[in-house]
Amino acid sequence: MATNNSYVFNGQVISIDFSINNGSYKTVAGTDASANWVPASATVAFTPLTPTHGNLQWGKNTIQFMPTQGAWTAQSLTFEISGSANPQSQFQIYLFWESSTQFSVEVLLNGQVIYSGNQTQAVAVHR
Amino acid sequence: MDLTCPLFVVLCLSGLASPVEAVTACGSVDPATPSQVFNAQVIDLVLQVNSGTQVRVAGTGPMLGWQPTLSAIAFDPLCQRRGNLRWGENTVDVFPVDGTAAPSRFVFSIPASMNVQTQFQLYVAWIDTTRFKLLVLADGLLLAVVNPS
Repeated sequence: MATNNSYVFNGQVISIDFSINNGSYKTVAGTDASANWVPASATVAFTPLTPTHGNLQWGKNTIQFMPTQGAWTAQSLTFEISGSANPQSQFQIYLFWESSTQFSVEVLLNGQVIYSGNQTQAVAVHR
Repeated sequence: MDLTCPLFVVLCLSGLASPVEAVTACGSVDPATPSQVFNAQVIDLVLQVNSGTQVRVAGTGPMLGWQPTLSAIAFDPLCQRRGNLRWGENTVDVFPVDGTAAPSRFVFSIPASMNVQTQFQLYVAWIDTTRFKLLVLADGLLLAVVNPS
C-alpha cells in the first residue's frame, strides 16, 4: 500500500535532482522572491510494507541530491524512519542550501521534526 | 532617503540636516524589505518579532499537501522598527494559538554585512510537546538553525 503524500520541499533558488533509496531521480524546482520564497515540492511515497527503490521505508533511508546544473557529484544523506511509524504517515523532507556545496536537510513526520542535519552531520532528534 | 537628492544635499550643506539624522529619521517612506515566516506543522502559531505586533501563521496539513503556510514580516535594518528584523540581534517569540503554553524564544544574529534588500525566510518546525525550532534563511541560503533559548 503506497501513500504518495510525502514530499520533498526545496526552499532555495537552485533546482535540485534527488533520488530516494537508489530510485529514479526526480526534480524539485527552486523558488525565489517572485514566489515569495514559497518552497516548491515534489511527491515521494512511503511504502514500508513493500520496500521499493525510490520510496521511503522503515529503517535507514538514503537521499541523494545535486543541483540540476553544473558538474557536482551527488551528495548523500542517510536518516532513520522508526519501525513504529504508521504506514500511513506522511513525511516532509526539506532541502536547504547552506553554503557552496553544503546542503541541510530537515525530515518531518506529519509536521514533526524527526531528523536534522547535513551531509556530514545527520542528527536524530526524535525516534 | 535618497542621498543624491538635490534638496538633501542643500539641506546638508546648509547644516539643516545631517546624513546620520536623515537616514535614521525614517519618515513616511518605509525602506523595509518583505520577508516571510513559514509554518511547517499543523498548529496555528502566533509569532512576535522584536517585541512587535503579533503575527498569526496558520498551520498546514495533508489537505494542503503539507505546503508550509506563510505570513509576511519585514527586514528593516535602517529604521529598526519593532516587529521587523534588523541587523544584529533579533528575538522571535513563538507560541501556539490555542492553550497556555509559554512562548518559545529564539535569539539569532543577522550580520551587518547583509544587504538592506535581503529577504529572510523563517521556518518554524515542531520538535515535541510545545517546543519548536527555527530555521533562518537569507534569500534561500540557510543562515542559522535556532533552538529555543
